[in-house]
Amino acid sequence: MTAAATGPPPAEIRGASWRAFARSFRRHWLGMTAAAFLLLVLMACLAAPIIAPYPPDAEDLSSVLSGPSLHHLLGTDQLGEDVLSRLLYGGVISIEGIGEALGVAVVLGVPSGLLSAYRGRALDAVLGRVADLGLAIPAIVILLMVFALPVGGETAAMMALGFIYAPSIYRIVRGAALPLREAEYVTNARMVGVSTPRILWRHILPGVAGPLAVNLTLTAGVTLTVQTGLNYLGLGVSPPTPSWGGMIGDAQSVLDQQPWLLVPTGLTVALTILSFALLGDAIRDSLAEAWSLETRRARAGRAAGKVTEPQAVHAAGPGALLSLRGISVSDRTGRPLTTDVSFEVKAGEAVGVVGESGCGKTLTALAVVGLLPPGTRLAGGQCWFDGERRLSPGQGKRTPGIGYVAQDPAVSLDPCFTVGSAIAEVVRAHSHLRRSAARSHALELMASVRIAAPAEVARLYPHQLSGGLAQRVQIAMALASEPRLLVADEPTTALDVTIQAEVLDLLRALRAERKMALLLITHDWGVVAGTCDRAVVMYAGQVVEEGTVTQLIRDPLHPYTRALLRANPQRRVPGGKLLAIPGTVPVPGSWVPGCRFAPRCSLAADDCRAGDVTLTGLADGRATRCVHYAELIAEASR
Amino acid sequence: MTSEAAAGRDLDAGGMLLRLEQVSVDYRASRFRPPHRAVDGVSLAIGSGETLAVVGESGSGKTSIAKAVLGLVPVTSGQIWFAGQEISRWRQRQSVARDLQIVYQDPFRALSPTRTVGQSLAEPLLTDRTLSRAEVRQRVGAILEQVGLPASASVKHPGEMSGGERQRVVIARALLWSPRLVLCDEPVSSLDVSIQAQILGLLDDLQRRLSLSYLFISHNIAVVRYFADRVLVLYSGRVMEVGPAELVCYKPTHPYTRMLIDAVPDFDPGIQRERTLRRVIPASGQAAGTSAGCVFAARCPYVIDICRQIRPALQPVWEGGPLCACHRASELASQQEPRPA
Repeated sequence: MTAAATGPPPAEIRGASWRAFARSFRRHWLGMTAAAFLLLVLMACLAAPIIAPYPPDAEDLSSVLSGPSLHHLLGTDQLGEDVLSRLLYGGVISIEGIGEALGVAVVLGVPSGLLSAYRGRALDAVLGRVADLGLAIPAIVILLMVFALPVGGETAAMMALGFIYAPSIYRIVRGAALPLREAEYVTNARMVGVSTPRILWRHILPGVAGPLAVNLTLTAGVTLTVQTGLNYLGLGVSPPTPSWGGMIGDAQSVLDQQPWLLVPTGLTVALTILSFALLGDAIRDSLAEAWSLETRRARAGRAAGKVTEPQAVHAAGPGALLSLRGISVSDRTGRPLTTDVSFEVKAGEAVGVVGESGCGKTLTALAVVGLLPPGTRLAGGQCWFDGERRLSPGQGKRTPGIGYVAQDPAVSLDPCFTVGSAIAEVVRAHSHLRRSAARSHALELMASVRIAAPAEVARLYPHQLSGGLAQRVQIAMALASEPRLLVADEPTTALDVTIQAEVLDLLRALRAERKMALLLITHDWGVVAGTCDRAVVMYAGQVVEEGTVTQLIRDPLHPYTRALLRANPQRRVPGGKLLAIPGTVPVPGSWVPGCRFAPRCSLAADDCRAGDVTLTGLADGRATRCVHYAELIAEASR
Repeated sequence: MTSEAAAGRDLDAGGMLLRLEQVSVDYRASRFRPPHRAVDGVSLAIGSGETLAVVGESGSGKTSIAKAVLGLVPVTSGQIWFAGQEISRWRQRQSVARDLQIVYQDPFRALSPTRTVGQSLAEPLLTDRTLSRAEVRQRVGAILEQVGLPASASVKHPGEMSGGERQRVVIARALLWSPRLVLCDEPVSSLDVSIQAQILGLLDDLQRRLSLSYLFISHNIAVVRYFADRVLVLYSGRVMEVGPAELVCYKPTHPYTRMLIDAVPDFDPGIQRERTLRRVIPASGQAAGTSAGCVFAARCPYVIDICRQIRPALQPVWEGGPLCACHRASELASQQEPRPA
């Protein structure tokens, strides 16, 4: 894959992940507001000696307990001291306190958590017990003890608070770092001899940074609450020195004379704590988005231009069980993911949908079943099943009469239910059978998918099943609704070849027994060849070729079909070489105008790029979306 | 060289780069349960510039062999020799660490998501303090070019690359120290077919240019037959059959190898139908292997009484032929299409 073939990525998806984080963060307006407020408080307090209108202890007994006025913007307290000035000076103490507490917590908690997770064994056990002990000590007792000491005061108390936080920081860091220890990039770094501190700093800490940042922000809020409370009780900071807690205490004592006095300090403290919480939420959400490819691709796609609207629509032929007419799926932003997908499945017929990942195979299957994933919607086209129109845009209802088997059985079975009760539940949803009748029908279904001991397997939970067995269970569930069409999305990709062969044998047998049509989504020509009558080849959200399996394999009429066949290792050509297709499937939104396969195609000429290529119907029910298909016929006959 | 005197010809040719002798790996879930033997007395050898493929289903112990060679799991018994030096223990490994590299199955998990490609590639180089920053940058650029990526790829994060591009980066990282042996653990099984062919082509090309040896682990014998010089078929931690790829993949002797090949879906619907009929679905629920007999006996269509009692030795099917651990090996080899028992 050369740079020329793939082309540069869209400008939006380039750049460092921290920038992605910043970009994502900027879209959380609440978090941005909170961050701005905190920054404002921080700057104002640090600049107190410059911007405060009065010294914090300047008493003016001539104007005591005045409300807001031009001389005293936020009023004065019972000694005539300016509230605004005291608020600014008092903030410095709060900032120092938060800094001390978090600093101690981080210094104690983060390195020990990282080491504990990375080294494990004895160190982990010892540190874990120490942390448990730390968590068991009541914070207030420690704090009161520290205040009772002749030295230290406020600073010592805040550091003690940090000491109390350290075990929970340790736990969070350890928990987040534990799965990273087993990550292959960490193993690799260790093998090439990268030093432990470096691995911890470079590979593990970035993975821990998210939860850590969130937790520290929330802890900052808690620290402010505790500190304000202590000061309110008169602990730590002695009266002439201003502190937020002390000011609240002062305001409370004159609440009946001047209620206003509580407002500036109370509001500042409340808003600061709230801001910490909101900031933590925003950081967590942005981090989750920053490294996920999907959101970035989605944003990249928005910049790209619109793709043409669906045009050619198949007329339903006689005997079609399922007929897709011009199905277009797009994401929330209106970016098309598949365009104008039309094909038919006759009753009892097996049709394969072939293509690489990212070509829209799965979306088409999900559209057929009526289970489009969140964030996508049907932008156009119709789906007819058994003579009825089954799907209207935006309707997320599963279509009856169609069974669905997903790729990974391990994630599509609910881990909380035994296999038997899961199947029985589906049976009851479809048939109004009584509980016991549904159970026995579930066992029949399990026997019909060739599970040797259905009664034993029915008692198992999904995690106790092997991959092949789990896939059989999933097929049994799909059969519960007596479907006339079974949609199977890569049913064997996650399985070993030997198990794959068994599952495919099963699908073939079930199809014959139940006169059931099959729509099989796969990237493997071997699977299609052995299982399907006809196949539809998809590329970049379009159908590019359609025909019987024998036709497609013997003489493909689209360069993509031919290239896919040549790249398939299953073809038994002793000593032959695999021919790769240069480049990769373009992501939705970066489709080129004209033929979407042109950048990777050996036959591409100027007329391919000139305008949209339509799906041309040919003799024997074949169709191809290639301008130069005649050349392929000529080449094949040579 | 005691019990496997017969195996000697294949295993002890002088000048082999990597040699495993009767290696076993045990995993212990708890102190109170008997350990699980993942690799059971496996011997193999890889010559310079050669590709040995290890094929088997999941759970057959393929990855455990790779981990044992890399020193990531302790070897319970047996020895591992690399370039004439024993590396069975982690400490012995350090001196040859650079000559032995690995390419992982999942290229996303193999790269740190928060570091750029350039940073990931520079990291192993920076452990060598004799290299200056400029030299490191230049080496990273050169290695990217070698795997068919533009030098500008070094500023990207793995999340911004396709699976095929990421796998190229992982290969580039394995090549940084000009290794002699690269372990490829299912390097293409998470990729699309068209990309698989690209990556296999790249590995092939690199082998010829840099005279690399590969230990190529795969569950798909169809991929292996394009790529390997010799193939070793593993089942339940034991070697079932080992020999030249053209013999093992096209004229297999062992019933398990035959089962693996028959399981590959064929393009020709006629052949496919024939295979489906030939396939015997084994009764499930039987234990995978008994300590006494052949581990494959429970699934084997050709099983006879002796298979359940005596463990078959790995011996040549014919003079100079591939090695096969099956009591009926010579019988199976002589028949073109032997009938299941």
